[in-house]
Parts: sequence; C-alpha cells; structure tokens
Amino acid sequence: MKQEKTLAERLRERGVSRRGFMKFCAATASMMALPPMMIPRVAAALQQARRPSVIWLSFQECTGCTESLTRSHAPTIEGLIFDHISLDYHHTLQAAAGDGAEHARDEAMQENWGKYLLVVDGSIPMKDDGIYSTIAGTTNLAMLKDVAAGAAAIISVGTCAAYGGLPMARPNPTGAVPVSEIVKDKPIVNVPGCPPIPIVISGVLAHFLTFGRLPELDALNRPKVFFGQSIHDRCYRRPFYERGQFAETFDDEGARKGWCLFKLGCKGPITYNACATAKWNEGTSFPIEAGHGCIGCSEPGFWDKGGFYDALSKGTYGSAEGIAVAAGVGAAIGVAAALGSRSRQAKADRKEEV
Amino acid sequence: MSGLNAIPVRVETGPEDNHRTENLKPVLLQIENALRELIEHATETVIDLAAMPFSAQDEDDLRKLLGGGEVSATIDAFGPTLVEETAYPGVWLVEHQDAERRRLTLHLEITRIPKLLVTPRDDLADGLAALHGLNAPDAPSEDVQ
Repeated sequence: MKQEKTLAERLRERGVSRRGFMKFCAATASMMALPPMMIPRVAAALQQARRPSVIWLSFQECTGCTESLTRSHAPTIEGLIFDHISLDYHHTLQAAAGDGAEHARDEAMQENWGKYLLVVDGSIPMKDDGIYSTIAGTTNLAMLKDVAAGAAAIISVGTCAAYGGLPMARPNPTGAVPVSEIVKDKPIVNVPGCPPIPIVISGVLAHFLTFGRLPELDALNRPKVFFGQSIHDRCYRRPFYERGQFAETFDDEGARKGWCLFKLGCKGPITYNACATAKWNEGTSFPIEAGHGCIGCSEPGFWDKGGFYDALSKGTYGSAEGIAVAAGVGAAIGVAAALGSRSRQAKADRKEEV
Repeated sequence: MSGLNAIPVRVETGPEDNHRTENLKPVLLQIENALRELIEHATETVIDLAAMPFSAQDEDDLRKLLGGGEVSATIDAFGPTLVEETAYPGVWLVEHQDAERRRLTLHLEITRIPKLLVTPRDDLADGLAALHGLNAPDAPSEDVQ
C-alpha cells in the first residue's frame, strides 16, 4: 500500500518553506490555544502527521456548520489543515452523488475501519423510528450507528449534533437527540456553537493530527482549550461590567460608548466559547463587539431558556444570586484568568504527551 | 420610499471606543520576569498576545512603551513575518501574517534572537548541495559580469 504523505511533505509540495512550516506550527499552536513554548513539539508531531480519513455526516441541520468552516478566509491555517485530511464523504461538498457517494462512504469505512474520524453535524430524529430525516433511503439513526461502529472517534460539530440544537427545541416534533444519546461506546468530542467557530473545528482536527488523540475535554465533552473560559471572562467589555457601567437600551449613551451588555440579555457570563479571542469574519469581531449580547449558542438548551434580551439577573438561567456570585468570583480573578489558563493548558497538554 | 432610509443613523466614536482591557500591566510584568529568566538561566519565553483579551489600544500602548530598537526584519515565508526588536534588547515583537497580510499571531519573544530568523539546519544542507552544483565543472556557465 502506498505510504501517504506527511503534512510537512504536503506543505513543502505547496511551496511552504521550512521557515514557513515553523510559522504554520506557531499559528497552529496558537489556534489550538497551546502555549507558544509547545511550538517545537507541535512541529515535530505535525512533521510526521499522516492523512486521516474523515467521514462527515450531516443530519438535521441547516448547513451553517459546513458554511462556517468552508467560508473561512483563505489561504488559512484551518484551510491547510482541512486540505490535509482525506474527506471521504460529505454530501454537501463531495463531487459524487447518489449511489457513487454512498459507495465512497462504504469504501472509506472498509479501508479505514477502526481508524477514521467521524464528524457529525445536525441532530438525529428518533420519533417514529427516525423517518423524519433520511439519506439515500437510510434513516439518520441507522446511518449514524453504522458509521460510528468503525470510527476511532466522533466529533459532534455544532450545537445540534452536540446537544440537539434547534431541532430539539420544544416541542421537538421529530424527537431530535444529540449524537451522545445514541453512541455510547466511542470517544465523542463536542464542538458546539450555532455555528461553531471554524478555527475551533480545525483546532480539534489539528490536535488529532498532532497528538493522535482528542484534546482534553470538560464535563460537557468540549475541548477545554477552547471552551475553558466564559465569554465574559475574555470579553473586552468586562472592565465596564466591573465598574458597573451598563447599556440599558440598544441606543442609549452606554450602548454608544460600548458599555457592558449584561442588562440587555448578554449570556456571556454563563457561555463557554472562544468567540472573544478567536473572533469571526476573518478575525474582525464577535457579536458583543458588534453591539449585541452573546445569545449563548454553544450551551445546551440555549433555545428554550427564555428571551435573548432578558438579563440573566431575571433568573431564567438560574438564580440571580448564583449568577451574581459566579460573576463576582470571575471579577475577583479578573484579567489573570486569561494568563493563568495558559499554564493550565500547558499542564494539560504536557499530561497528554506523557 | 420610507422605512429604514428615513432613520438617521450616526455612528459615534470617541475616546471610550479605544478601550483598554487592563492586561497591559500584567504583560509588562511578565516581560520583565522573562527577561530576568533569560539573563539568569538562558530561558527563552514566548508570549502569545492572542491568548488573552488584548485590545488594539492595549497593543498601541504596548508598542509605544516598548519603543523601537536596532533590528527589524521581514521574513517572507508563507506570507510575511515582521520581526522587530524593541528598545529593550532581547524583547522582540514577532507578527506572523498570511499571504494576504492578515495577522495570524502576534508574539512577544524574549530571546537573544527569534528562532525564525535562524537558518533551518536542513536548509543549510540544501543550500550546500545547490552551491556544489553551481560550482561543478560541468555546470552550465552564465555570464555574471
């Protein structure tokens, strides 16, 4: 069997020099939220990284997750990582259609049984034996079980695959559930968000390429490097929160001066994601920077937790007292949190390398 | 025509828009400690400024405080990388950009020389092989006058 080229070899073929490769590694380490001192180790691992087979299944979804990844600006680090994987099945992106497409999936599964990565976006309908969403006459439920059986690991991309998402919103007419409700015997990493940040999706792929395993996860199976801190912890408007300066309406003086959006329903204090640092639209900004509070789209059940414009202190998301305590603790640790997280991440990664 | 066009939209800007995150001081302290480590133990440090809330205003303040030093260089590899030594010897600002000059990372490197400036060892061997070919008796000659 022909030996697949390493990532370094592929980059060299594309005219990326050795210095370019080191720069690629520096940017990849930054993307994975690893401390910069890990760059040489990332380089050593990526130098040898082989091309993994990836099967991407899209179920009850809006294609926003795929749009998020593929519309990232190019040429990018995430683009190069994405190019390196062997995306053997993705019914939106692949050229093949009909039986040819399904055959490609079967073939990839047989050739890479037990080794391929399965990426899922979208939730899975369970009601009435899952008939509400089918691909090539197969229910999403049956296809997921079939493909998951041979996967090394599963990445649930987007809030629908991770937590059920909008299809699961009350009254959940299709009986939608997340991947983790169906597959119990495989490692699953959740990359929630509606949609998820492209760099987070490719960061997980890069981590798999670098270390040959999934990154360290939190209690909700999210990679800690990206979901370890709340939006509030890393928000540039946080000093206004701490000074008690809040926008009361979207057109008052506070809003114009960029004060904290907590009273306008911002869910930043209870939402864990990397928007405030990774940002969107080619790194331009994130919703809070555009003047709108965080809607908490990477948290389970965000769609059924009341109005997006209701302040957390109204209690829909838990007691106001509890949130105040949480925010207070956050304020106390202040800006040191961001710096401290780096050493935690370094430790976490050193642990993985042992 | 009515509706949106009838609404006078005016985007206000002012000093408050140039926000600061209060992370500048911790970063300066980290630089000082890192420079001490470099002198006493030859330990190099890299600080990723994208790893923390750090606004454009913070960066502007940082650049003003650190000032410019004797060395600046541009590396053209997978897009430009701008390397500048600050007025504090051993404290470097290294900005990686992609081919379209968009920033990938901004690092503060506390080191005698940023690693990316050093010629990779394998490139030395490649360069030697290429030179050897150039100097070979049967190499095609070109006018170099």
